[in-house]
Amino acid sequence: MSPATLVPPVKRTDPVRWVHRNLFSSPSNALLTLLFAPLMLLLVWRSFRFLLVTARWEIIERNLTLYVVGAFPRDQLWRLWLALSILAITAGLVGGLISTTTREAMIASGRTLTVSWRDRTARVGPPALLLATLLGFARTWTPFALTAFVLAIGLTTSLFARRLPPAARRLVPAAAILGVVLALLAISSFGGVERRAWGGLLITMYYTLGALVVSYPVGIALALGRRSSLPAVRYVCRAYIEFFRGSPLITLLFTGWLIIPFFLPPGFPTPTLVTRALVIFILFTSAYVAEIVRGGLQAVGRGQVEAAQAVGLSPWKQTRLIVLPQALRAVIPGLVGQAISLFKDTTLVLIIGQQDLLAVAQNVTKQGEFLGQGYITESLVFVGAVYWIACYWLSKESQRLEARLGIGER
Amino acid sequence: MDQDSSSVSSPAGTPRNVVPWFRDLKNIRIGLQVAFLALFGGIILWMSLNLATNLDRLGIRRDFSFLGQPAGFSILGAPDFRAQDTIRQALLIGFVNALRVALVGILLALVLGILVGIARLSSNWLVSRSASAFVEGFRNIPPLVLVIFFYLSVVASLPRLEDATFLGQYAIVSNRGIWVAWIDRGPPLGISLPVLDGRVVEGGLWLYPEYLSLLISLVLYAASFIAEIVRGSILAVHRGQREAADSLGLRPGQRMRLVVLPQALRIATPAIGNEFLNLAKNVSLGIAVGFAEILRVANTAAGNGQPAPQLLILVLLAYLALSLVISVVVNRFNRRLQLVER
Repeated sequence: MSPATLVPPVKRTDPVRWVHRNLFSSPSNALLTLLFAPLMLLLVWRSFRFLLVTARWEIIERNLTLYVVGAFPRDQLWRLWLALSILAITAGLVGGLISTTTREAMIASGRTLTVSWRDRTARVGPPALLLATLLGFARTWTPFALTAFVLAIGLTTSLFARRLPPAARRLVPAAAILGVVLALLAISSFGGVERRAWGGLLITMYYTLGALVVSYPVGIALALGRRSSLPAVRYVCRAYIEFFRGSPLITLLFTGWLIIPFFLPPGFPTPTLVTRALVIFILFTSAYVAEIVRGGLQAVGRGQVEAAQAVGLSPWKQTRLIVLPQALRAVIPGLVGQAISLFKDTTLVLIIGQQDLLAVAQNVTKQGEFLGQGYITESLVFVGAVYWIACYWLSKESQRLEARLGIGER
Repeated sequence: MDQDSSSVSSPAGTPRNVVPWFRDLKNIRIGLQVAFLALFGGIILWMSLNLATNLDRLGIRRDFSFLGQPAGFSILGAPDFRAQDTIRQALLIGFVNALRVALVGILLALVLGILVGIARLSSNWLVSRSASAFVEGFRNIPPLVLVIFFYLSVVASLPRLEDATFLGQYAIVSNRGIWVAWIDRGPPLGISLPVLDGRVVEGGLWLYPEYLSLLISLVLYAASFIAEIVRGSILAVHRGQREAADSLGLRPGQRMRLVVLPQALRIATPAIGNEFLNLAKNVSLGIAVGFAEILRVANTAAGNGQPAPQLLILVLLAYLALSLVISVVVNRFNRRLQLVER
């Protein structure tokens, strides 16, 4: 047998030995176990009893639509499903094209591609749980059917996109932008619903995605500006970054709420509160993105820039073709982390009176039949679970991406 | 010869003179910076002019003289503050409240974070799993959800004051807050025990619900991040250090306390400092439950017709000052910890 085919011996897990090794390996360990076990058992038992027995979930069942879309007119809900379908097609197209790219890159770099079934189920787990949490409270079959439809067209597009010629990859950015714009138009234009009537999970997602899409390019520009050879540019970018990183987001949102109208000339139409909040999220997030990207820029070796200069690239091309791709690749985990942070931060709009997911969770308990009976616990547990699963999912995907890109391996 | 210095054919013309002024890199750089500053300064100036015009148009004062006016509201948790006291005093109380939560929170989060971080690496399966659950549980939830949950669900579901739970003589737990035994300030120095007298509690330290729920949530949230940092730093300590400690015959507890942890904290300090800053900024979440930190006080004052722009500038400055103080302290500590190398 050649050494290459040797397989590590499979460890037999004998329950008694496992318990001995992991729980009672020494007297102090045994003491810890005896101390922790009752506490944890109590906690787990209480949680399960709450989730399965004592919780009164009817408040969620009755108001599920409110949690998801807020005050969005109920006769216009088809627009959201249309927008979701457009987004599913876009995601399928982009995902399919990107996955062939990475696959080829990995084959070229000689890495193995085998994805075990365990990995696959681990990947599908969190999003499936998220869907189950939301759909589990639906009282009709329509949302199930429509969700299945949306997922099906997304998957079909992704399978189709994998067969497209490699040249089609050039269309990825354009397709992504077009898809998002079309989805937004489907909701708000052609007799659609204005953004001030959006609420719940919908407005939460709008703030998150809207701020991400704009603040990443702005943040990259700021990071480059902070390393510029022009002192004036450098200091201004640095002042911007330090100011926004030093201020609490709520204070900035208050500023956007109360002060932005003051900064505009008299008679100028005041932007809606949704727009103002979005602008604040963009300004705030881009400062953080700039700091993350700066870390990546610092990690790019000097030799790379010198090599680029040696082959005669212009400064702009050095940055765009040599420095930025390497810098961004190194900070993908940080950027995903920032996206998670932004998603969590969108809850703050509740303080300036927006009806986001968390605000809905508080407001439904003020309905007559639920008032003053402690339903807030069920409501917050539901909303907390939605946030938790989404953040957990994103952080796991980020770790997977990190491992796959081999960051920190070389 | 010198009169024709820009001409290429001039025999004495140095290469520097060949480039016309508008293509000289030095001039381009100056021009670009001037243009950039003009654009940036122009936007700021335009916004300030608009602000001034709008304030005048609405008849709002442009100075800070309103700070000396009576506030006209009371502040939660500050019984000594009366409505006739000035807005300056009110904002100061708000700032001190924010400072108090930030400092107490930082201390508690640091201790809890280090404990959980160590527990995650425990050889005891139950302990390490519990610590992982703690970390994953709290860091993936928006802190505002935690604050509201603790305020509306946890503290509100504690027993009423009439049927409060007593922990010996030392604490009274009720939905109107927790009273704990505390150092009695007045001479002679002693311990002030909380005593329930009908419907009021005398003595002790009152942790009122708003303060309590804000503090607990911020501590749990920050501790989950600090625990991850501590864990990473412990893993980053070189294996040789551990082996050396073992070969000296140190027990596992001593190895952690004397060898591994001091080195791990050196690695962890800058990242933990960042979490301190986040915690300090998150104190402003208290506004959601009515905790009277400076933003809440400023918001109340603005609701009473005081000028919002100046108030928000003061709030921003207060939080910037808080961040600055924390980062200066962390940096000094960090410098002291760093290895002095030749």
